[in-house]
Amino acid sequence: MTNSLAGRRLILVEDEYFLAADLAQALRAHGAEIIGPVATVDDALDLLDECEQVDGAVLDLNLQGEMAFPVADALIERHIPFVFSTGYDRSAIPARYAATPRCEKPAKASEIARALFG
Amino acid sequence: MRDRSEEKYQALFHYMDEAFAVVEVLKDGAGEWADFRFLDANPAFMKHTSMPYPVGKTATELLGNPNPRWTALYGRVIDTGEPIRVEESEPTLARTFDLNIFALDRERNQVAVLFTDITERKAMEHALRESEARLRIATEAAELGVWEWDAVTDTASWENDRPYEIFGRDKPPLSVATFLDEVVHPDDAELFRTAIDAALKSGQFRFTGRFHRSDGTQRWLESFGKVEFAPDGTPLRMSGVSADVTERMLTEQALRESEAKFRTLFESIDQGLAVVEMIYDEHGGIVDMIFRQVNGAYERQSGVSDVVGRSVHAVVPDLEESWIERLTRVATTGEPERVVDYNSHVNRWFEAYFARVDEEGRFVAFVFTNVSERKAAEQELREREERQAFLLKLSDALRATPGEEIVARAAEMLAEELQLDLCYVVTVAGEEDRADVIHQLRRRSDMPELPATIRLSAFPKALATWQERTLVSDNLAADPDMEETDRRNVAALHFGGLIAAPVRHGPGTPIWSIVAVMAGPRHWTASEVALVEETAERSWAAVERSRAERALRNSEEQFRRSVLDAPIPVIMHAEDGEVLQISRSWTELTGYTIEDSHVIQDWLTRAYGFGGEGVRGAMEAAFAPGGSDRPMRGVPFEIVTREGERRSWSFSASSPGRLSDGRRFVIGMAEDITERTRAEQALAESETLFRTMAEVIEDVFYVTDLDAGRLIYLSSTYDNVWGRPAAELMGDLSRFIETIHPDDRAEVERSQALQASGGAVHSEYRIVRPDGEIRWILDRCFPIPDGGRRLSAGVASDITDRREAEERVRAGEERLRLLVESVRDYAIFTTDRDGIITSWPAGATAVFGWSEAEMLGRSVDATFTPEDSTAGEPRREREIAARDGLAPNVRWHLHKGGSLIFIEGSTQPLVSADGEIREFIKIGQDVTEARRVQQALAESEQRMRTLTEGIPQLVWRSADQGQWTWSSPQWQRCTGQSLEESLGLGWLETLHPDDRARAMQAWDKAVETGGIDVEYRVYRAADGAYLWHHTRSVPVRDEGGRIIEWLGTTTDVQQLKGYQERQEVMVAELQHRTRNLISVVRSIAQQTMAQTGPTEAFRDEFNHRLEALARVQGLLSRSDEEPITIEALIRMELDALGAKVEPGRIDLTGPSVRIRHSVVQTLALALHELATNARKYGALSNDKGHLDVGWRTYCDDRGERLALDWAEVGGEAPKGEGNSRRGYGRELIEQALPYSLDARTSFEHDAAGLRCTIDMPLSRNRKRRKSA
Repeated sequence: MTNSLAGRRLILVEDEYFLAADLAQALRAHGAEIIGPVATVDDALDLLDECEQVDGAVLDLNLQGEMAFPVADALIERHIPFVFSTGYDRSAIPARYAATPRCEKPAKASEIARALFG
Repeated sequence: MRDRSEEKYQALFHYMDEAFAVVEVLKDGAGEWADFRFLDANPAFMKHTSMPYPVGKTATELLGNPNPRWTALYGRVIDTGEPIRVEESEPTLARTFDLNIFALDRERNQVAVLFTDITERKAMEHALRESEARLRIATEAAELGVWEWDAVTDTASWENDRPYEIFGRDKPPLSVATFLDEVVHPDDAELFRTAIDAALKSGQFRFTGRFHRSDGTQRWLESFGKVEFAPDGTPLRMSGVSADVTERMLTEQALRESEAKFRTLFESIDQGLAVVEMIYDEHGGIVDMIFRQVNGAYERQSGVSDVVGRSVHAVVPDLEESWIERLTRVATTGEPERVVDYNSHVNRWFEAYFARVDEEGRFVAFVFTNVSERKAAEQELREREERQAFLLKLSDALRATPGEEIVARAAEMLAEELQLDLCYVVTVAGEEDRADVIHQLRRRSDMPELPATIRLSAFPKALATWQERTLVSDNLAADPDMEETDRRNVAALHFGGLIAAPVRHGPGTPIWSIVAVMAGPRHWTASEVALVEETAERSWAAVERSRAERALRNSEEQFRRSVLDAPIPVIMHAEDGEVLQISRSWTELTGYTIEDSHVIQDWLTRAYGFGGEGVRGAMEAAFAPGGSDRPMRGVPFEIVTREGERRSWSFSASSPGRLSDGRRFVIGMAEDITERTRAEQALAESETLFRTMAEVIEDVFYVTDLDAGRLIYLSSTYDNVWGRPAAELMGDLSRFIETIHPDDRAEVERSQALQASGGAVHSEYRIVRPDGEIRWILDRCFPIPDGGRRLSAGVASDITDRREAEERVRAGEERLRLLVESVRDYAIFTTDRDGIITSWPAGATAVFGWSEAEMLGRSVDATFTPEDSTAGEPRREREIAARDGLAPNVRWHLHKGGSLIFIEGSTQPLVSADGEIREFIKIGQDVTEARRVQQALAESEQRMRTLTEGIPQLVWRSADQGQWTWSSPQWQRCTGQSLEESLGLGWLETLHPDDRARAMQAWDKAVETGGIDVEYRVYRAADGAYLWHHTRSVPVRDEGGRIIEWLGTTTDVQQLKGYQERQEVMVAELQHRTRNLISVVRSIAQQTMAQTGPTEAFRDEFNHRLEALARVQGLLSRSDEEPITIEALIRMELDALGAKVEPGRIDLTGPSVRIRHSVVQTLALALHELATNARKYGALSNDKGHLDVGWRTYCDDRGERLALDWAEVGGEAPKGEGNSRRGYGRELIEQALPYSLDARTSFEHDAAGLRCTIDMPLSRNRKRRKSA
């Protein structure tokens, strides 16, 4: 398996501290550089504005009761590939994100790598 | 509050008539719309679709292979967000629906569908199209141009090619203006305008007028149309048919002229004419005959007045059977008959022509003339001739009879002539109460011999009569005019019929009598009476003459005296011309005495006229040799009286006798026949007049002797019209009926009967010429005065041409009527007075379904609903129709198939001319569909009203641009506005000032977008709050698609929104949490293991933490009923450790603060760590420690926050630098809470104890973004 995550700059948006920490650790272990993690929509959007180069993103849908769609829209706008890391069914995800891969929690780093970069 | 709102919502959902469903549209793997799943459906859904409860199932699961359009339509609504209104069929259900589809939640692919089943309506529309197709065929066949005219734009369109043929133009008139300017005849333009104006008001258009074809010819156009109106009464369009009716109009015109001519003639002639309707029973037998029409001469001719509308039997109660038979025969066979017949009711003879008027034999007409006078004259003439012959014979016989045998001879001849049973002669001596029978002749052996003397007083009444005049009795023994004495005594004599003719000698009591007797009753004719009288007179005269002659032989003087006393003019003169004696009677009649007539030439010069010469010659030759053998008898001539009056005498002269002086003499006797001759002459003159008149009339003119039953005159035109020789009919009038068309014979006979009764008769009948050609004849006959005779004159005109034109017109109108009937789905049928159906044409079959065979003879009840029949509606309808002339019949009826059809129409009586109701005609139009629509409209409006006032939504109606015209009571209750205040733009006042502009923007775009969908805040009068309301409105359009008004709802979404959001969040949270939980658990395990390794200690801590997690989940799941507060969280964790909250040991101090769900779990885990730590190592690990947890809330610029202070006193001191108790708990507080909850935390552990603060936002208000 090629390590497709090596050297990639990934934004991690996850409101659960321990989940964020675990996933960040796992992704780093695959050679990815993690931006964040951040727990809220606003922080995520700030991060996107601040960072020059973002290669991908892992996005939890439900951020403290707030849906992460604005972040998803911003990512699509910037043509940044991302995956939803979520417990939601696909049916709960709006149609416009039909093309966005979805990794069911708890997501493994390898799944995320495959979903993001093939 | 929320629950009540929900209840209403549910009620509406359940009870609305329209089907309502929420579906989730599903995509396939390729991201294409592929199917849909029902998420919700109301009860009406099942009704409209007949599907089982669909919720949870997909369309494919339910229907197998549903119409793919559904998914496509729903998908499009989600894709575009635009609602769709569409009609679509579902083949698997065999139904068609009218749907409103609108997006409910586009993110979750949910659409709502509101729809109704319109399968039936579509089927009807289809049927209508078919019917229209049929109509087109019919209109083509009927050469009708079919058009539709738009009343708003004044544009017309034509549906077939017919108008090109009608108008002869490149294009037919396409507007009223064009028609008026270029097509219509100027004189009829105003008529056309009026017709259009009337149609726009009444809905019915009818125009008949002239127009010009492009080739310049003038034609007639007839148009019918029906206007459709908008609900507000504005005329929208008119559809109709037009046809070139020139031929008909011309024919009608011709007919009118001809009819007018006919009328004039009909009423001006003097013959009676009657039309009688035959009333048949169900077996085809004629049960009655009703006079339907008579002309002015009818009454005069028939002698019966006021007959129209009455039964023949009522008019002529004792009508001879022959008349009835004749009418029946003519009606049933159609053979016309011509008769002369007697009617005892009016005691008249009629010559009548009977003819059937129609093919069915319902009407029979007869023309008749009262021929009674003619008939009587004929009879009298015949009898008179016979009488004359007899009297001549009698005179001859008596002259040759010796005086003593005269009586016997006369009695014998009379008895023979009249076939008497007994004839006797008496001389009467009144003062002696005695009559001497001087002769009796019994011709029957059973007649008793009369006594020689009869006592006159035995017959007082008879005697009294006899003394006055001739006693005539058909049956003396039973004669009511006689006294009982007479009858008794006559009976003893075995007398029946009797004539006793008295003879007087000068004035005074009769002295002599001949009596004619029958053993039984006998009806004596006037002629017979006269015969007896004459016989009596002559016999007596003969007896007297015989006596005179005898006396002459005895005494010349005596003879002369007897001459003088003779009751008739007698003259006696000698052969030298000397007048020896004239009778007093001579002097009385001529005014000349014997002094004026000394010689025979004196009076012979007074003899004039036809026969005068003969008398003179005969008298002069009386003494010529051989002349004595030829006595002169009955030579008629005229004699001029002294006054210059001419009298007719019939003269006889005796053979010469010899006087005592030797001269021969002759006795001349005269009979004055002046009166008789005068009558005969008058007749001859009037007949001459007749003939002259008749010859100048072109039509066939005839004169009938009613009593004789034969023609007196028939003009020669008969030969041409009838094609038969007039002589044939002159010879035998009864052969006339043979010339009549068989169908018309009965009618002609009726006419003849009426004619014979002395009335004027008008009739129309057909004759069949010998060459087989049939011609129509109008026959008018009328009585003419003719002294004693009853004559009838008539004019028979050939009206074949006119009749044929009438027939053509009638046929044409019938076709048109039939067409119009079939075109408009009218059922027209008739019933008898008891409601039994008597006709059932195709239109009725089309509307009701039953065939003619099924319905004829059935009660009309069958077409009513059972309820109406039971309630007696059919009878009531007839009663109203009978009373008012028309009964509206607007109700549901029964169709053969059992379905109900709504009929709009009426029942009218068919009233015969006498005012009696014969039948009822029912006319009805099937308006079921219109009615259904109307009813549906009413129901829909009722529903609408119920809904608008019953639902929690605030409902309003508006014109364009938000100009409200109505607001519901709910609106007024909510906002505190009155109805008036809300109208116009008044409602805008109740909106939050910030939202008013948005509301008006929505109206600006409303027409363009086809609706209003906007949210704004509306003032609530109850508490002054502005609550969010969702306002939606759709336009109500008329059939033309124009917007009539806007109907809108303004819905309080404040509560609904909160509720819905809450639900959504809850469901999402659950999924999120349960999934997250696994991840969290895994992390906990890893973290724990990192600290403990896989040991017993791990298991304890891991289990405790999982338990904490479980507790918080339980708390969350109950959060609906029980809000989660910070105190509840703390107590929960302390309870789990068995630590009791008691003052001095554990103090919890702070307000009740709700913790939102999304943070409960993390916060609870943090508190668990703190509590566990306190229990194991801190303040709760011994008896002396003290735990003080205090919290408060405060606000900063980003919202409300919670500040919690966890302070322990007592417990273990920290074990080393930087290693404050446990790693996980501390990381949780110091790292996770700030990260996840945006909290500020502190964690200090010194010798005094552990102190931890958590400061976190309570609301969801997000942090201010750096870039914002």
